[in-house]
Amino acid sequence: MASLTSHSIRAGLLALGVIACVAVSSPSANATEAAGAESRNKRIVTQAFERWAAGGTRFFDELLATDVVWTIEGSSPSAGTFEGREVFIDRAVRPFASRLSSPVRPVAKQVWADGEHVIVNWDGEGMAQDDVPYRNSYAWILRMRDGQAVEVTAFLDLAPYDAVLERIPAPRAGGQDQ
Amino acid sequence: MRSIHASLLLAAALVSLPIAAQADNEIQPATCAASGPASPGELHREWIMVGWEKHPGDSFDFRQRLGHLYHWDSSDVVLYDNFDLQHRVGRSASEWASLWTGPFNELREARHSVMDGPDVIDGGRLAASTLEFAARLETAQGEIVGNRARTSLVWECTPDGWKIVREHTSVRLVSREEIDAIVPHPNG
Repeated sequence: MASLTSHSIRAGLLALGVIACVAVSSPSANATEAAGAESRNKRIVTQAFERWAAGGTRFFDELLATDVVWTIEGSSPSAGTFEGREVFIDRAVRPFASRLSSPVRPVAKQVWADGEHVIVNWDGEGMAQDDVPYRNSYAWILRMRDGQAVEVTAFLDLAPYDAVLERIPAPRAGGQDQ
Repeated sequence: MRSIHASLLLAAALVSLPIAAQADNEIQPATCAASGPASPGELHREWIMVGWEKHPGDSFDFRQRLGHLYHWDSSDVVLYDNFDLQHRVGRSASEWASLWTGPFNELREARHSVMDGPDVIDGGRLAASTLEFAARLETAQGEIVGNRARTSLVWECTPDGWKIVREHTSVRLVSREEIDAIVPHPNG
C-alpha cells in the first residue's frame, strides 16, 4: 500500500510535470509572450515619439537599428529605399531638415502594435527657412527587433515635402539632425 | 444726491477699467504662451523627456540642458526633490544645478516616460503644472534603478517666457519588472 501510494504520488507528480511542461510551451504561453513583446514595442515607439515631440533630437538614432531598411513609398524623386540608418539620415533626413528653420515635430499621433510591427499615424509640423509652415500626415509601419526598427515603410504626402526641397536651396555644409 | 453719488461711482469704475486692463497687460506679457510648445505643460514635458534624459556617453550640463527652463535671476526660488538623499532645498537655479550635476553625471543612462498629465493651472503671472513620470536609471556600475515620481512646478511669466520658480518632486522606487514594463529599453 505504501509503495502503491508512493507510486501513485510519483505518477501524479510526473503527470503534473508533463502538464507544466505543456503549459510552458503551450500556445497560450506563446501568446502571452507575443503580447508582452507587442506591448513593449508599442511603448518603445510611443516613448520615442514623446521625446521627439518634447524637443528631443535623437529620434532616429534611438529608434532605428543601424541596418534599418527605410522605404519612402510614392512615385516622386524623394521616394525610394535607403539601406542603413546613416544612409537614411544622410540622404533623406538631413537634406530635408537643413531646409527648415524649425524642425518637424509630431503634434498628434496614434500608435498600434501587431506582433513585431508597430504602426504610427502622426501629424508633423515644422517651419521652412522661407517662413512657410510645413505640415504633413504620415503613416509609418515599423518592424521591430530587439526594441529597434529594422524595417520601416513610410507613407506621406510627398507634394509638400518635395516643395520644400525645390523651393529652398540646400545649404553648403552642415544641417540639423531632424 | 444719491444719483450724483452713483454717477461718480460709475465714472470711477469706467476710469479704472483701462487702468486695470493696462495692469493686466503688464502682469502677463505676450511672451508667455497658454498653449503649444512654450506653454507650461509642454515645457514640463520637455523638462523631463529631454532635459533630464541621458544617453550613454552624454555629459550632463544642467545649464545647457535645463537652463532655459529655470529662472536664474529670481531671489524667490524654492526647489526640492526627495530623491536627494540629503533632502536639500535649492534656493536658486544655480544652487540646484550644483546639487544635481555631479550625481546625474555619474549615471550611465536615464530614460523617462510621462505616465500622467501634465495638468496645468495658468493664472497669468504664475502657472502650476503637475505630472507623473517614470524613470529608468542605470548607474555607472550597471545597476538599474526604477522609480515613479510626481512632480509639481510653478512657472513665473517673464519677458523670456515661463520660468521655473518652484519645484517639488516626490519619488518612489519601483521594481525592475515594473520599470522594464513601463520604460522598456531597447537592450533591456
